[in-house]
Amino acid sequence: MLSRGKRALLEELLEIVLASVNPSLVRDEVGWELAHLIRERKLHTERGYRTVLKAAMSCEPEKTKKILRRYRRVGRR
Amino acid sequence: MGAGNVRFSVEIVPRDPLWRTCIYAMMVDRLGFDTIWLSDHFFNRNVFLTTAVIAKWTSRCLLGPAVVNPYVIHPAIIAQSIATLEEIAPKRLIMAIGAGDETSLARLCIKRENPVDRVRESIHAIRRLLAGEELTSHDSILCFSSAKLETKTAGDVPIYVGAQGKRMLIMSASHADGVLINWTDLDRLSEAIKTIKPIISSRKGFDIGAHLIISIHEDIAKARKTAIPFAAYLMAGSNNALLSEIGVSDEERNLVRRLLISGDWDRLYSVARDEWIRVFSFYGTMVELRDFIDELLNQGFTHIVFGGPWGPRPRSALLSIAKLVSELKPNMGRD
Repeated sequence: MLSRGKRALLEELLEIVLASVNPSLVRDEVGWELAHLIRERKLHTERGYRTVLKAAMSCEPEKTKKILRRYRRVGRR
Repeated sequence: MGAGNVRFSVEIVPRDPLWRTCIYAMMVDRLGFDTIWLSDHFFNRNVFLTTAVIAKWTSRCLLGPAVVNPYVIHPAIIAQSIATLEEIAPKRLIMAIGAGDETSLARLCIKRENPVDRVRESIHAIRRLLAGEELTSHDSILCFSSAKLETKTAGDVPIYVGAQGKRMLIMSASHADGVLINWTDLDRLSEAIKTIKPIISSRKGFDIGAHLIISIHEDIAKARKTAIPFAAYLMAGSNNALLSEIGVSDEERNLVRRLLISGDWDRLYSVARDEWIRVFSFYGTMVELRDFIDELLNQGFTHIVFGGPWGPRPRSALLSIAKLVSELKPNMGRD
């Protein structure tokens, strides 16, 4: 199970992946893995988090890094 | 009018990699919408192949290739594709046919001749082929010579028409099972429904759909920006009479067309005007969308199609639209 913070982060990263104008930069294997995880309702797992992160870093690296920095700051407080 | 019998559907444009289209389709299916309409343009993913894939990633929604074009695809091939899809997803198929826009057809060097006749004859041909009939016809619109599908029959797949103009609307009301009216401004939707209501009064179950281009966000400027390319695409493909009515010159249309083809989005955003963005799309907040949908239900629409882009944050927008629909239609089936 993911922590509440990581779950919120995952949701934000998923939003990025689904809104990106560069979805073709996500490797098909990663994209399909994400789709399978959603279908099997296994998105909110460590594996799900890693897959969404990989996809987000591929299509929107700058936005993704910005969000990760924000969550790290919040986590330290 | 209440929303109890109204269908609420989503249009997905198969422009994305298929994995992302499948994710959106799963969302729509699980959120309880009635139908997933999949748009058809030659430059996107193939609509029938995409529908076949989506069928395996969803379990509940009706699936509708829409609006397929009988100039680009022979009606026999449309019927063949629908019959095959019906085998993949039994009792979940629906379809819409229409004459398409001049811009897309021009890119294939296809002339949009006799559009109303072409669509009408195609409806009848598809229906008969799906029912297992053999067709022979040598008229100038469509030609068949002992054409018959050897597939399973699928004669009860509803056939809708994607329509805007008065003649196409009247034809749809007489010959199709439903219509998807491609306007997003209230005045034109209201005019359209007035045109078809007298004709369909004797046709029980005829479905009147408003096929909307929606972009919602609490920041209206962001919603507007997201709506512009979609509205521009529709504007650039519209006929001269309509463009003249809404004050768009040939020069402006040609400029927008060039910007769309070259993908010069910054320039497109700077030249876009509300006078035409508002005709071809709805952009605004969720509260405004609620008022807009209420007005459509009052006018008598029985089917609302939420077409993309949905908003700058499409996933959130889709979740918000589903929430709105569940308020309008509390018994909407959710997974």
